[in-house]
Amino acid sequence: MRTRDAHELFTRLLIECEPQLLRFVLVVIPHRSDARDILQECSVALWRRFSDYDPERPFVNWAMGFAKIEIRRFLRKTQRRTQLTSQAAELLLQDNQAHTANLDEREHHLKFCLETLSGDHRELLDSYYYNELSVGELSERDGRSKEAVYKMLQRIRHALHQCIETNMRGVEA
Amino acid sequence: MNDHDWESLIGRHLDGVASPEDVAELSRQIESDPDTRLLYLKLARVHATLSAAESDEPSVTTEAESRVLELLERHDSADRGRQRFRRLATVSIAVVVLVTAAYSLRPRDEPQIVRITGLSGSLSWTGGGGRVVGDLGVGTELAGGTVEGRSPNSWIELEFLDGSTVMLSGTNSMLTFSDHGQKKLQLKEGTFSADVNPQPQGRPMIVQTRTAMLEVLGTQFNVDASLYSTTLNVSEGTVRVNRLSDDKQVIVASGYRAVVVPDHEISLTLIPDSVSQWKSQLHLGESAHRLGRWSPGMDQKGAELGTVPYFIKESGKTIYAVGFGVSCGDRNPVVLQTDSKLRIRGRIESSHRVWFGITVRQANGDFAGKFETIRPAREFQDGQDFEFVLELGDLRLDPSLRHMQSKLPGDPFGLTLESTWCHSLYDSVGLAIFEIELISPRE
Repeated sequence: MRTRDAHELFTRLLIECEPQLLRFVLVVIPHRSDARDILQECSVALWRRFSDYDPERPFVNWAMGFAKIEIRRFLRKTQRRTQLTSQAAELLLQDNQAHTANLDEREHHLKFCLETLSGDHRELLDSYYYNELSVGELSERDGRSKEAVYKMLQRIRHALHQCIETNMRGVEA
Repeated sequence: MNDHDWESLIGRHLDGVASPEDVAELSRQIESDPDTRLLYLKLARVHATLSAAESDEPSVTTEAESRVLELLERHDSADRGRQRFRRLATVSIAVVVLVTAAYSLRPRDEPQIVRITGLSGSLSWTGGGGRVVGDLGVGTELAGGTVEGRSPNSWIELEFLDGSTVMLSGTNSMLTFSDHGQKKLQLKEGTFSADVNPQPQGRPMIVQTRTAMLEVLGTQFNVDASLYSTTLNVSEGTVRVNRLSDDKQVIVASGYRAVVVPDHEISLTLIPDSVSQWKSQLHLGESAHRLGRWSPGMDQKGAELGTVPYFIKESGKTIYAVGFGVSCGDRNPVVLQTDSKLRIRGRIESSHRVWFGITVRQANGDFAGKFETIRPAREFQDGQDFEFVLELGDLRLDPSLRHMQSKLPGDPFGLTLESTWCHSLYDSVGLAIFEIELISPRE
């Protein structure tokens, strides 16, 4: 493959699978900024090894192998006290793969469960996740204590979790 | 700690507010207890999906460079001046250099002539030199080539530089397009509709099927092409139809339908009135408008359509699907009423959840969405026949169309039923359909 063709193909494939890769990393490295750093490192590693990529295979599966390596490298390098141990992270990566179908289906239900939230709750989630406002910033904006905002977020996520569980039971029973 | 406590602790960890002692305890529990790991994964997936939601929006531009730069800007604002910026910037520059190189070195001999403005299902594009690209997205610009639907629910909308749009859907659909001063399209199979702006004098858009050639100046129409026939419905303007086998021509005006088959007069009629009932009628034999493994009736059993596997390369998933074209060929358009239901009879060898869905379009042929539901495994018995009635109001818009939700109707009522399909995911479970019937109790 000519270099320019490879460049173009790589760019297209990377952009297409970026959201899936980011979600994959965020499961084990929940801090968004860290996860994006890992994704950047992963992008560079993927490009370096792109000549090894078999276009007949799904790019995203190939890319996830690199993401795992970068996650392990990150955990070894940073060793923060507030991050999971490498062993715990490794087990989560394994189980994540083992439960792929089930967990993918949960994401499918999540989209519907989000529609059941009230306008206020949806707005709070959007502000926290999409606009990346911190709990402190939300607290200041809404004139509520940090604790109240945090509890509200927990309650919304618990409701989403329950909604997904209910839908999954309906589907799997 | 009970499940609720672990859920709370996992939530704090995901938010980055758990203490080091909490995280140490959580790590120990994850290492020793598979149930906690599963709970963690369930909650972390929600967190990850919500956190990455911004990246789910499909790129509306093919300028990958600006896409990555935008990503980097988000990184910058998220980092808010952290010390890591310098390292991130270094890596970012490397990515930008790669991407810039990719786009500045793009082949100049393959001008981009269409932009993808909507798609769902699995599709591929084959360009000059036989290069196959399967990872297509909204906003991707394409040079002349061939788009091919690779799953029963594939659909794509392309916009030419002059604003004319074409849509392709249907089982095994395949469309080749080019524009060297005149738009030329070849529809091998599938359902195709177009909204064509006035074309240059003497250079009408040409749409060729296996049996006919259509000349279009500026109009709205839809075409259904199969191996033996071409059916054209014209909503606005006129289209000249030329039968390839004997060069016979007819002009098809707005509100008319032409059916072209070899060895018969070209049929020219008013577009027939819509109906609200339909049956799959598998006993009539094989049909180009179905997807699946058709078997004739044997002994006491009637004909059936068994699933065939489709590997979705982009996601690495395999579905086992059957599909039925409904308002296709020379049939009357089937319009869904508010009380319409689908009665489905079939058989499954191994009980499993099954997806059922429909594709609908507007009266002028424009794509109007895909709606689906998942039936739980408990509704099926191993090795047993099944029958149930599906309320169309229970169907939800296919999540893959979320990016264009605001442009699509919220329910399928009043729309033309283009096709219906069902499939299992990952496992071949011996699913076969005996009959699907659209019923409208008021009639």
